[in-house]
Amino acid sequence: MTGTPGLVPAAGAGSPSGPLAAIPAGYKFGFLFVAGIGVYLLSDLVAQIVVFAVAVLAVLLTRVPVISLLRMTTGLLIIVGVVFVTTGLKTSWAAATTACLRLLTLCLFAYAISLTTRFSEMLALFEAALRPTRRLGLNPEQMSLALAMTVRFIPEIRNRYLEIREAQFARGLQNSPVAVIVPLIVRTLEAAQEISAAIDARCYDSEPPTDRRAVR
Amino acid sequence: MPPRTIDTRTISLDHVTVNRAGNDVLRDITLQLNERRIAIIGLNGSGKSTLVRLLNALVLPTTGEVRVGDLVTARDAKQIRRQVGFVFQNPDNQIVMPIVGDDIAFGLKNLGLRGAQLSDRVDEILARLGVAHLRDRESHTLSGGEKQMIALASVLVMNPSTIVFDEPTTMLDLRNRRRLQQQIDRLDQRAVLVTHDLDMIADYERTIVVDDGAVAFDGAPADALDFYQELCG
Repeated sequence: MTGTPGLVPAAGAGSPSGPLAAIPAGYKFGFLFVAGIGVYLLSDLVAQIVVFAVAVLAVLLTRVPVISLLRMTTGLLIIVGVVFVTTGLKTSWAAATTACLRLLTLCLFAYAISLTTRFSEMLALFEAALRPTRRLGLNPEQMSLALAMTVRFIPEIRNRYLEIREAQFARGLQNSPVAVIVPLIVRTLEAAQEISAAIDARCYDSEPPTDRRAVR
Repeated sequence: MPPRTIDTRTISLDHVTVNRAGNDVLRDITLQLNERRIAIIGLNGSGKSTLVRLLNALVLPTTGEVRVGDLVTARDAKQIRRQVGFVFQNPDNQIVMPIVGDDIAFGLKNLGLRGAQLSDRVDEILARLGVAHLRDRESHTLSGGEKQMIALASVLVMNPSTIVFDEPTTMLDLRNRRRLQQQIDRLDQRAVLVTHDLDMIADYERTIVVDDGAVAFDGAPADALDFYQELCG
């Protein structure tokens, strides 16, 4: 329904745009699954370069500014660089090139998909994929909510960590991990209790809704 | 969005006691809440938050009974939560979804709403509070004032007949405090406000002072404020 791109969204970014945004999330993630197998079946270097070029094109089609894309992929490029050198030194440079092309291709496809898929679409897909687990006694709605809340609260917990660290620094406790971790755990547990109350207050029911007339 | 109506159902607490770990947090509270604007004030730890959490079944009485119309909190918690919305002190704990629009939709989805109807309700409520531009924003990137507005929107979108505010201005600057106050004043719903912000409640119909787990004063705001000042020494 709403949402910014899923895995690596820029802070405050708007809705996903570009031609890939119009493709349903199920098709995109299905493609990523097939591509994950396909790139490892391709052994011809030329074919690998062509697929890599398609992945680059897919990322450019997200309409995210190139500067932002470069910022997002810097970490990835460093890791791939390390893989290239170590693989090249241990095996051969041809093998290193193939391994890195595969890795980059898959990561770029993943970027393109996550940048053009709203989080709510991903969540709906995740929930749909987990639906069969209901037969095993699991609850896909609860698992989906847990995933959403994990994404939601990672930045909050990071903020709490930074606040506590700053406070401990102010007290001269620079080198005491315990002085940071213990209050962080306590504050996180306190927040969890409040969040649980908030979810209850918002009529959360993990069972699938049946009565649509209930909304006034 | 259906037309909003002011609720006429009485919220009643009948000899309610809440006991936690052997201590009475609230003692023998009996109240009938009929007014449209009700304030609850008191010192820290006096039991104000526990009292208002009784109203939408977030806390159940150890003895006694809380009713919203014909519904009893101990028996009908789900129905009561559709009637009585709750805005928490810290909006960070109330916003559960990573994207603002999804968070507003969260409660409606729980009631089975989907598609255009759901989307329209989200748009309507965000526009009403003047925060439509935040719809696609990530929740953690909002300012404190924006978060509190989204928390209010997430409650209002459910169209409850009563909204409980538990110290909603504590984390807000003066501008955002005024903005929130204006929104509360405009509500058609009954509002029950717990606050330390005594300016906010001057025009309220009724003010209850809670002290040491009991109702120490119940009456007009001016008299309640005099009583409270004395209580504070």
